[in-house]
Amino acid sequence: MATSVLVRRGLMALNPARSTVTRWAVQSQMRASTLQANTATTDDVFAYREKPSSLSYFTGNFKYNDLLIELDILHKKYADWKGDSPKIEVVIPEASLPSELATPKNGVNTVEIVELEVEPASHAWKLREKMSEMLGIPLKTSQWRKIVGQLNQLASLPAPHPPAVELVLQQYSRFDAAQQQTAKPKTLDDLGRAYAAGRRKESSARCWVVEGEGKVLVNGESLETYFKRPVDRDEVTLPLKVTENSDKFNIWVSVNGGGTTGQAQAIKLGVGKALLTHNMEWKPLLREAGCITRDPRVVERKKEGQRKARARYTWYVILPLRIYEAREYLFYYVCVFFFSLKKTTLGSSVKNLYIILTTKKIRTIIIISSIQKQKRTKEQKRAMWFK
Amino acid sequence: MASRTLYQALAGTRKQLVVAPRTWMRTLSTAQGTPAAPESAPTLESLVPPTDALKKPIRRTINETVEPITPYNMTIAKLLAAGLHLGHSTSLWEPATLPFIFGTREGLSIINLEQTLVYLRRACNVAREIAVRGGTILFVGTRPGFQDLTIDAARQCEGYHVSGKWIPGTLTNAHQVLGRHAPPDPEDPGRAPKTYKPDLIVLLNPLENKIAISEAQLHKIPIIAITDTDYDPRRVTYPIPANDDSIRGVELIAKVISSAAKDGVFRRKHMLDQKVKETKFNRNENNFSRR
Repeated sequence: MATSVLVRRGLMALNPARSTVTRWAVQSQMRASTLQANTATTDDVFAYREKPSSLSYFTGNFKYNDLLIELDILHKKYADWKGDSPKIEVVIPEASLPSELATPKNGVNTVEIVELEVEPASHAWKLREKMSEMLGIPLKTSQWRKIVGQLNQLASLPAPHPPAVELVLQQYSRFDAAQQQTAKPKTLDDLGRAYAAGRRKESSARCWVVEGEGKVLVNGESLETYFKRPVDRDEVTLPLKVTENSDKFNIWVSVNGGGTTGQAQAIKLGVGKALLTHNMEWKPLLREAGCITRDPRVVERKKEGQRKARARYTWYVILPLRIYEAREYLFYYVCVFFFSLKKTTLGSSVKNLYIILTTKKIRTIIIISSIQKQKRTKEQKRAMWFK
Repeated sequence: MASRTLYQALAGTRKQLVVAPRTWMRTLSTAQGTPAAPESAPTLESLVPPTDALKKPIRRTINETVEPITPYNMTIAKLLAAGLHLGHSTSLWEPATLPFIFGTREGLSIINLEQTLVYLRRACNVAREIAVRGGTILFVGTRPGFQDLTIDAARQCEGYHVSGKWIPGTLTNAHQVLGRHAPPDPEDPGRAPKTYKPDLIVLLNPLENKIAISEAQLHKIPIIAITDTDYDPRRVTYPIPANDDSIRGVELIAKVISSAAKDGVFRRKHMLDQKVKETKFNRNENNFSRR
């Protein structure tokens, strides 16, 4: 062994082996460990000591950490995997000089791991709740994201994946993703027509778009006769105009419901969607023109206590009155008083009778807070009435 | 004595710490796909690894097929190659590290690798003996670059790791921190599950784990830690004065300690097997003698 004299001297001076053995033999008995019995024999050294089973026990969340480690090991094992069609695009970052001696550092970390960018895998993984249910551990969003990152890394290996990887990925993929992929793409029918439906407000339009000269028929009538306003006519032909196909397609539309504008815009949407079936490349043009988005605006419902959907009644006044003060009001609206007296639910006890008086015209609500039965003599009452 | 002469050749005199030429360094460092050193003066292009090498992250910074990493193979040359002698800036130094400092160069404190080797051997012996007695060894490395190497080191010697955050209360509040996710007792599901404590903690970045150190001190658990020139080595039980910033260096130290512990585990298994054989043998002998 190539050691210097100095080093050997240092070792002998420390004499680690002997001292540590005696130190540890004593300390292991003194320490209150979880399972060991307190005996002073040397055979105690070989007694069975119970240990935690998981590698990540002391992290506090061992199942989650073990899972990450397992996925990482799998990735490392198949790091060199080459499938039939490698799809990984590698972005090469600037090389870091290997020697640290050349560059003086001042308390700065020098990380030597080179990171590479991989195109993101379009796999659908189980969502956080489902995944935590499956694994049996509560998952925070950040933890779920880390697991998904590892799964994406595994999924980005060139296809076809090795069987071990495939097994793992299957466990974590979302079920409905497979169903989504079986949606069949839209095609022209045997007569070369593209069909699409468009809706706006209460109108719905069924549109057939076929290669032709630029004729438009709406409910059997020509465009000029059906839509009197030029605005509506322009809306119908907008998808064709935007993609410069004004004289290349014929449109046949069956529309019902709603009014003129609604029908025109429903046709616009239908024609736009039908054109997409003909050629997907027009999508950005149509999207910018607004021919693909279904306009979600509909008539808002009326709410109770308000005049219309948003308009409210004019503001009301609450006047806490004694009943003898309100007699002037009562005098005027006596029939309404009786009507509303029947309706009040709060008017059960005499003490807290709330009398609501309303007028048709100005919607004034007068609430009388309490009725005080004052003991008055006959003279006083007469005086009150004839004041 | 090869390492000593090599060290001297590199160091020159005490005053002059010569930086090793880059070509020499590259042949010693064993990253994957490093090209052979050109005979002409090294240009920037020759230093840049080829694109094939960059397609994968550099996972194995130390090539073990060339020479296995064990405490018996450790030389000052290897420590130097891993950059373990580079301390922190002299303005940030901790005066208690003075015994371990060889000198200063370009504003950095240079750690005396002879001391490093001695303390590293001591730490390895501690780890080995604890493993022989069946102790649990916990590797703690919380920096983001240390995750892989901590986990590898722990796995190799049947130890445990904390490579993310050290949760405060892992030892002092074990019932809550560790008992939460632990499986309940099969016999008595109502009772809280049993918690365990490590018998040795190997800390790869003590500067960021003050809480771990104080918890270990409360529970009288020894700590082996890599102490740089800006950290007081008296705070841990078995300091190893070395550079804690270089991932390659820390990986080397973690591997060395892990291999020593693995050796201890193997010895324990061997001795247990021997004991079992002995008892069987004695039993048979007694049987024979009876007849």
